[in-house]
Amino acid sequence: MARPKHSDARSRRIGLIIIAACAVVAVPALVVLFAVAGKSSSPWFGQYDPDTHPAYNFSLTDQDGRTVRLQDLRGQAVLLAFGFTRCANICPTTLGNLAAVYRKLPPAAQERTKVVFISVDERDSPATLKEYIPFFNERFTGLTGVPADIGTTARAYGAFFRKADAVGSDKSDYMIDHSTYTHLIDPDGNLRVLYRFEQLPETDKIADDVLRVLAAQPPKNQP
Amino acid sequence: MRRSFLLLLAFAPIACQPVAEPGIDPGPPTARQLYMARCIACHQVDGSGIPAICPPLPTSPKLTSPPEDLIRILLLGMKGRIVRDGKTFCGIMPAWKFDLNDGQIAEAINDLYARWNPGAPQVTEEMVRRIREETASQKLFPTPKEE
Repeated sequence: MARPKHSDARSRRIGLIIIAACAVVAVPALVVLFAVAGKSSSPWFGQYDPDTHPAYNFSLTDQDGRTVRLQDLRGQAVLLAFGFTRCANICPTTLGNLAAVYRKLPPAAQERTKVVFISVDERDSPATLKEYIPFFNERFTGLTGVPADIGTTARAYGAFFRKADAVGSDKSDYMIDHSTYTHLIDPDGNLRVLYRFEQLPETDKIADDVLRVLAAQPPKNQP
Repeated sequence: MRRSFLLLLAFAPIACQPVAEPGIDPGPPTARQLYMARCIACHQVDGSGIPAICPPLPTSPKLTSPPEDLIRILLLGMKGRIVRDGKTFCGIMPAWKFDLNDGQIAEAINDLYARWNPGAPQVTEEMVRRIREETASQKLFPTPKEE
């Protein structure tokens, strides 16, 4: 039985309304979906290493006189920087920024993140680090060691340092020129992301990288 | 046909991509840019600081006292204990004498004045040069005077 013409027009109108309604619902949903998908595949903020390169397993002494090896920190993300406590600005700025990154992590992620500062200055003792580290965060780890071990560790991480000129007339009051990269080591002990000093003020983005590294390797006691 | 067009129109926004702006040489950093790059980790964008580490800038007595102290702090840094309004802070302020020239330090301090003590007299490059010479042989990171 043929339907009247006005019924066809009405059906078409209803069809268009349904399409428009679907579009109104679907477009924002797809925009959100694409945004989420885009975020998960967005580039890392630091220089990401997709290959697996185990980080050098240093064995150094912390501010409390305990021996700390990198392998002791398995299961944690490690933000690692080299420097010295008399550094005028690079080291305090680096550690200040890493402290800001740490504060931006949720408590569970803080528990799984270790900020490690390795001193390349033979004048820095555990006692010196014990005074210095809490200026930024008491949970950070400062490491020192005999010059040979510090040299081997620095070379293994591509870090550079050399004694520079004395600041004043006191020859023992010298500076140390050093590289300023910060490494993010994943919970399995692999070098994963590298940050230039200039990137460190972007603490939100570094915190995102840390969370991403942690998410890729959930704690072993979780299913 | 018409239905296809409506569908295309409905999904068109998904295909839109932001257009990158052409590169512009930013020139030397402004005082505000220096603050954002070097200071906010501790002082925060609004100068509020960090509990137990870095005291708030807006209420710092250094902003209302003669500018020489502030110039010295920017040049030599500072580390140790500060007690202000019953709260204790213990942190370290980097020394900028090797990185910032006299003009940049003057601008940085004037930017702090503009935000939190607009009536303060301006710090000049010459004032910073004088303090730099006076403190040339002083050790970095002096202990703060009690506030």
